[in-house]
Amino acid sequence: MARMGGGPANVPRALQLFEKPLVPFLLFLLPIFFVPQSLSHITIIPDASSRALSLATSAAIYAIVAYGLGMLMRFAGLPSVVHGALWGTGAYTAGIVARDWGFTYWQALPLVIIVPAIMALLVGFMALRTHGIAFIIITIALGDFLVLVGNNDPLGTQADPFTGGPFGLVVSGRPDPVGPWNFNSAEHMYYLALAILFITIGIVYLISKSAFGRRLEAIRDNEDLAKSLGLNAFLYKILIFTLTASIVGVAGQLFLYHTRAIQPSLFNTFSFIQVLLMVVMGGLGVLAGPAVGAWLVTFLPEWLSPMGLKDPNHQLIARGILLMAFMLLAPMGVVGTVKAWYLQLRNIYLRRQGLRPTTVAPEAVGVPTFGTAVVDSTDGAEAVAVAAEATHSVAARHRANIARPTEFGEPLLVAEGVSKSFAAVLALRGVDMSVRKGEILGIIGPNGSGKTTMFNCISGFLPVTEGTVKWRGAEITNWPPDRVARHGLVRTFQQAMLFRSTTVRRSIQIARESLHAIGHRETAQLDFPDNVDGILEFCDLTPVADQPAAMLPYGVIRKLGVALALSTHPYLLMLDEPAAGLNDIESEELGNLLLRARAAGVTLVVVDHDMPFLMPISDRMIVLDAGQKIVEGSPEQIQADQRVIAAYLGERFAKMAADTIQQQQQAGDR
Amino acid sequence: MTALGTRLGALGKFMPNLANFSTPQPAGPPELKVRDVVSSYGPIEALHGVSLDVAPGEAVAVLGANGAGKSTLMRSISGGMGPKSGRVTFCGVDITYRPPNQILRLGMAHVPEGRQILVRQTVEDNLLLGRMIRKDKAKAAEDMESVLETFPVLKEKLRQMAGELSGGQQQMLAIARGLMADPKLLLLDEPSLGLAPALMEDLSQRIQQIRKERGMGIVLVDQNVFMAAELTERAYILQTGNIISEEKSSDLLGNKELLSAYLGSQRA
Repeated sequence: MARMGGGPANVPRALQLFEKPLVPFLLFLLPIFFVPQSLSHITIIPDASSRALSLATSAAIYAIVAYGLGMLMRFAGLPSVVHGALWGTGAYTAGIVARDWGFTYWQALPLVIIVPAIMALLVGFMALRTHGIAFIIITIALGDFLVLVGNNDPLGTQADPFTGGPFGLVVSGRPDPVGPWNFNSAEHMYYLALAILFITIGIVYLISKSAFGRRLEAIRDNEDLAKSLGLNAFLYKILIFTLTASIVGVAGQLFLYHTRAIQPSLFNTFSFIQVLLMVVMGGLGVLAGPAVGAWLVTFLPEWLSPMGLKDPNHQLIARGILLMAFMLLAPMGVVGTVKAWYLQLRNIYLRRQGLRPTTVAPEAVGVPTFGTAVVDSTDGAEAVAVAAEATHSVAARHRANIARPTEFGEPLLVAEGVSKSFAAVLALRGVDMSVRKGEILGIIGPNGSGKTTMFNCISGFLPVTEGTVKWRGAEITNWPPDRVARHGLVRTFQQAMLFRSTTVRRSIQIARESLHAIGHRETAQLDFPDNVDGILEFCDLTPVADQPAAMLPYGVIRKLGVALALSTHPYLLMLDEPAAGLNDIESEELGNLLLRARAAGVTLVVVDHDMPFLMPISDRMIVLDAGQKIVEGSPEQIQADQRVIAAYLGERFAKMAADTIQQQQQAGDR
Repeated sequence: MTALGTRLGALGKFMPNLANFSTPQPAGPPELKVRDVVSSYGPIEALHGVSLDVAPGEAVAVLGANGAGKSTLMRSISGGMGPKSGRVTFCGVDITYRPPNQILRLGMAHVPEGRQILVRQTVEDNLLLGRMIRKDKAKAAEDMESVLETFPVLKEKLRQMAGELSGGQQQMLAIARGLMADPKLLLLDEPSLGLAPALMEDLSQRIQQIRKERGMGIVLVDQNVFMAAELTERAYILQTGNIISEEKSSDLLGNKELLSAYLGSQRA
C-alpha cells in the first residue's frame, strides 16, 4: 500500500534511467548518428555506400516530416494530409527565392518557416473547425489544391514560369558554410539533416513536457471538458497546426537541396501516405517512433532486394505483406511494442525479486493512441478501497470545521427569462435564476425538466434562444464555453468526463495550469490550495493520484470531475448530478467536500436527484418542471411543498429526506 | 478447462471459431451458475474468484462500494469480457466464452451502466433493436405496448432521437430496450442512476410487476439499497473483488452493521 506514493520507486536505478524517454531513444538512434561511412553495414547494401548515404539522408528528412505529422497526431489527434502540401510549400519557397532573388540556403530559412506557417493558418481556420473524417477530407482537398497550384499546367505545353509546372524546380549548389562547418559533400548534408532532425525531436520532447503539450493532450482527450476548464481549444489546435507546418517547411527546404530537383507530384496525398506509414509503423506515443519508422520504410526495399526480391513488383507485394504483419502484430508501432515487451519483462523480473511492479503512468510509456494502455499495477480495486478508508477519515476530520454562512453577498449570476428550444421542443420556458455570492443553490426537477439544458445555456455549451445571462454585472449570453470558464464560472458534466490517457495527478495539473492558459482570466481569491498535491489532498484523491484516470471506478471519476473544476479556482461552480452512482458514505463525503469548497470561498449550484445529499447542503432550492421554475425556497419549504412531492419527490422520498435533515440538524446541535 | 483451453476460449471472443458460430440451445431451466470467476483488466485483477447462483425466476442483488467489481462481474457474466478463469453456465450451457449476442439469444439481457443507447436513432428504433432477436413478432408487438405502458414518457417521445432525451429518460430507454428482448434473466447495472426519486420508486414497482407477469429472473447492481431490498430476494455483498457475504434481501435494511461497513448506506 505504500506504493501509492509516486513513480516507479521499486524499479532499480539502472532501469529507472533506462525508462526516461530520452535514453532508449538515444540507444535507438546512436548508430545512425555516428557511422555514416559504414552505413552500408547497417543497411545491408553491399557496395553502394554513397547510395546508402543518400537514402539515409532521405530517411532523416522524411523523419522530420514524420515528426511534424506525428506531433499533430499525438498532441491534437489530427491526422492531417495537407502537411504533404505544406512540406512542398517549404521546398517551393526555398527554390523560388533561390532562383528569382538569389537567396542562399540560410537566407531562405526564415521564409521557409514563415510561408508554410501562414499557409497553415489559412488552411487551419477552415479545417480545424471539423473533426474526424471531415477533417481528413478537407485536408486532402486543400492539399490537392495546393499541388494543383504547383502544377499549373492546364495544357501540358508550357511550364509555369513561377512554379515550374509539372517539371518542377531545380537548385544548384549547396548550403553555404556556417562558421567552421561547410556543407559541400553528401555526408555533410546528411549531418545537416540529422541536426535538424534532432532539433525537431527536441521540440517534440519539450512540448511533451510542457503545459502547452498537456493542454493539447487534454483537448484531444476530451474537448468539452477542456473547454469547461477554460481552454480555448481552437486556438491551441491552430497553434500546433502552424508549428508543425513550419517544421515540415524546413524539411521541405532540406529535401530540395538533397534531391536537387522537385516536382509537385512528390508532395501529393498519395506520396504523403508514406509519411503517415512511418508515423504509425514507428509508434506514435514514443519519442523514437517516427524516426525508426522513417528508417524502416526508407530502407525496407533495400533490405528486400538481397533476399532475392529483385523485381520491384514483388518488392511491393512483400512490402504490403510486411506492413500488414506489422500492423497486426505491433499496432502500437515498432518502438511502442518493444517498449511494451520491455515493461512486461521488467515486471516479471521485479516479481521474481519479490518486488511489486508499479503503475506506469501513460505519459511515461507514451500515449497509447493506437493500442491498449500499457499499465501494470497491483490491484486497482484495492487502491480504491484504501482511498475509501482514507477519505472517510478525512471527511470526518473536516466536518467539524465547516461553518454555514447565514448571509450572502451580491448576486453573481443572474439569468433572466432564459428559453431554449430544440426544433419543436421547448426545453426551457423563460426561467429566472439568480445566485448570490457564497450560497449553495440546489436545483431539482423530474427527468427531462431542463436542468442540464439550463446549465448548458449558462455555461455557453448551448446557445440561448431567448433571455439574458448576466455574470457579475456584465452580460455573457452566448459566450463560448471556454471564455465563460475563464471568467470564473465553471461547470461539471453529468456523464463521467475525464482525460482518458493520463493519470489523476496529471489531470489535476492540467486543470490547475489552465489558470495560466491563453486568454483573459479571472479567478476568485480562494482559501484553497494552489499546488497539485494540495488539491489532491483537499479533494481526498491522494490515494489514487497515480492511477490512470480511465481505470478509476465511476464514483471516483465523479469526484475527479469536481476536483478538476475546483482546481481552476472558480467564483461559481455548477455541478450536474455529482452524486449519481455514489453510495451514501461517498455522497456524504462529496457533500463535505462541497461545504469545504464553499468555506474556501466558492459559490455552488448543484443539480442532483440524491435528496439526502442535496437537501442538507443547500441554502436555497429551485424546482424545475417541464422547462419552468415551479417552486423556489428553502429545502424545508421544498420538501413540504405538495407540488414538488407530486411532480418529483414521491411520498416516501419526501419523508426520507425530512428524516435525514432532522438527523443532520440533531447532529449539528450536538 | 485447462489454462491453454482458457486462452483459446478467450481468443474465441475475438476470432469466432466454428463451435461458436451456432447459437446454443438451452439445455435446462434458466438458471445462472457462476463459478470461481477471475477477471482482470490487463494485469489488474478486478474479480478474485467469484461464485454465485441465480435460480430460475429469482431476483438477486449484487451490492458493494464503488470499485468493488460489480460492473466487471456483470460484464463477465453477459459476455462483455472474457474472464481469465472460472466458468459461467446459463440454461445448462457453458457461456463462459460465448459472445454476447449468443448469450442474449439464450435469454439473458444486460442493461449496462451509464445509458448505452443509440443516440442517433429514434426511441422507437432503439426499442425495436431490443426485440431484433425475437421470432414471435406478434408477441413482440404486444410486449412493446406493455413496455411503453410501463414507461409512458417513451411513448410520448417515440419518434424523437434518443440523444434528445434527458439523462434519466435515456436510462429508462436502456431498461425498456432490455425488456424488449423478453429475457428470462435481466442483468440491471445501476438502473436508478440519475433517476428522480419519485421515478425510482415507480421503477422498482414496475420492474416487480413485469417480473411477476413474465417470471423473469433479475440480477441487480445498485447503490440504492432500498431498491435492492424491495426488488430482490437475496443479496451478495461484493468487496474488492470477493463475495464476502450472502444475505436475505429482507434483512438488508435491518442489518445496520453490514450497511455501514460494506455498502456505505446510512439511510436504513
